[in-house]
Amino acid sequence: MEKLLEILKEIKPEIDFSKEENLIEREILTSFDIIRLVSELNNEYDIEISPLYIVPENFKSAQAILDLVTKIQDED
Amino acid sequence: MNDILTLLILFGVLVFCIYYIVPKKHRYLVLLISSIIFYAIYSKFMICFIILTIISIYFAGIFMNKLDDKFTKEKESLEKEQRKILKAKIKRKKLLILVIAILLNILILTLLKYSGFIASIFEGIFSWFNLSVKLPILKLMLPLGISYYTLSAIGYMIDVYRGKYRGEKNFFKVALFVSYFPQLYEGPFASYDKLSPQLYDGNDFDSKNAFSGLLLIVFGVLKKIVIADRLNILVSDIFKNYNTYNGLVVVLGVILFTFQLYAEFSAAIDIAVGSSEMLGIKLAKNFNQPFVSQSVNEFWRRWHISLGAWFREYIFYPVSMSKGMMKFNKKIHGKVSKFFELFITSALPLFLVWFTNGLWHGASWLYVIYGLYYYILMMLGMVVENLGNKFYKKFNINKDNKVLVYLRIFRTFVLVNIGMLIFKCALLSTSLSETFNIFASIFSGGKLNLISLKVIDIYDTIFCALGILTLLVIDILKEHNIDLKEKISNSNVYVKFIILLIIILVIIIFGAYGDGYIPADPIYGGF
Repeated sequence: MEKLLEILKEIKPEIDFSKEENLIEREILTSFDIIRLVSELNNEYDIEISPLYIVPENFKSAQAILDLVTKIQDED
Repeated sequence: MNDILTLLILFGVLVFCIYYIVPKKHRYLVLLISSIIFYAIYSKFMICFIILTIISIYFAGIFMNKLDDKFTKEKESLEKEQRKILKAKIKRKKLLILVIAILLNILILTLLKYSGFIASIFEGIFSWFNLSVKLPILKLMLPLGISYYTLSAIGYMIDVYRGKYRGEKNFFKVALFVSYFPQLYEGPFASYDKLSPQLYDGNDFDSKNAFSGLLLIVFGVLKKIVIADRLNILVSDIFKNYNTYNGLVVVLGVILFTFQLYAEFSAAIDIAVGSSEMLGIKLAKNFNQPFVSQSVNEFWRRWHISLGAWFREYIFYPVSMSKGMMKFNKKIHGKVSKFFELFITSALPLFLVWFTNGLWHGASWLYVIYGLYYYILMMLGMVVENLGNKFYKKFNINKDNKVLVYLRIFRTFVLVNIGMLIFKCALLSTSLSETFNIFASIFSGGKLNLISLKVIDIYDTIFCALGILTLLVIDILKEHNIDLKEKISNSNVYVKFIILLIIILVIIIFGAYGDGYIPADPIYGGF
């Protein structure tokens, strides 16, 4: 989780990602942020996130993003 | 009112009367039959094109289902390596089906909508070589809603390919998803997973939904014939005689067009959403107070939302996250600044989004320029935002202070209006040079004489101003979480009906119809 929070912090330093539960609906993460985040996640966790996973539920909070990463790692 | 909007409201009311008396499991058939009749009345034999789209996506879905089933059945008995090989094989076959079905639908759209434009490009190329060639083009009326239903159909097939959901087995249900009549005229775009359960499962009657839907329809009619049709007279005159007016009048004309478009387009959406709400069906949101946007990016997240969502989901993300882009991303990762990394990797996906977005709006170079105008603004916006953030940080300025927020809203409004000027010229099919002349006329001097705008009298002028003010006040209240529609729907029955009656009276007394008024063409309906 800490690694993920670090990545998120780098994208939006002013947000406390450990508390936010509505990153997409509140438009904290825009589509550009998502692309940057996906690219970081792919590099850091050595995974390949397909566009199919780009739905608000998977990016609404740090926990949801971590769950997604774990799910893709398990699939591989 | 336009024929199509009148027909839409008539059908909305008629279907509402029939829908709830039919047994629940057959209610979707009421929607399907009425959609077909609606389409046939309006588009006559052009209905064959929508049927072709329905057949193609139905079979594409079924064939992809079969391949998925084959994989599920055979994978159990296979080793990991063999399973991978089979998965890749199945994926290739699914991709082939997807590509064929998408190409077929794009071919229909191209033939009907873009053949004239493509022919003119080729004729232009031939003329460079001093060859005078006249290419034959198909001169057919555009089938109703083709640009809308084609994109929804493509979205459906891509989702089935990706495995987001399975292809629908019932042909009539697929037919209903594509042809559902309220959204054929000007959208909003529907995503299959959100719309289909509401269409297929018969909904229970809910008096609150029924009233709320009716209120939206009536308010939509008000926006259309009291505000948009009245503004149309003024806007048409200014754009026609721009060279006789002072630059400030031309600026006024552009701003009024922006509000005319907003009133007209959101009215059509309100009528579509309202007639669906009366049946217990919730359509996608298409507007979210667009004029409070602080950037053009934000504007497009608040204006024609369902179109933006389609482009994001089916062009922006897949291209940005394609293997090639990700490889490129990995290559430059760490070698350039984070900002430059994002800037350079967004350049191609955003270009494709805005080029297609421009072309989707219409078949001419001006529409392409309209799309690319936003592309350039967004790329520049990224640079400006980056520099701005550094500047605010350096001088310890709170970027969310009120003055800066209002300045950003004003800047966005100006940029959006320049876009609207290009869009209006594209709608009028003016040449590139005349578009430039209209733009240049903004800076022309001359005597500012508003009285020369004789096309409307003082009463019409007051109504135009009041109309725009009403739209803005409703939006500002909503931005502050005060939803007037919600409040009226939750009030007691007397208040509800008095308000409904007042709106109807305003329409009857102040509607721009009768002698001297020509209803504005449905701006987004032509797509």
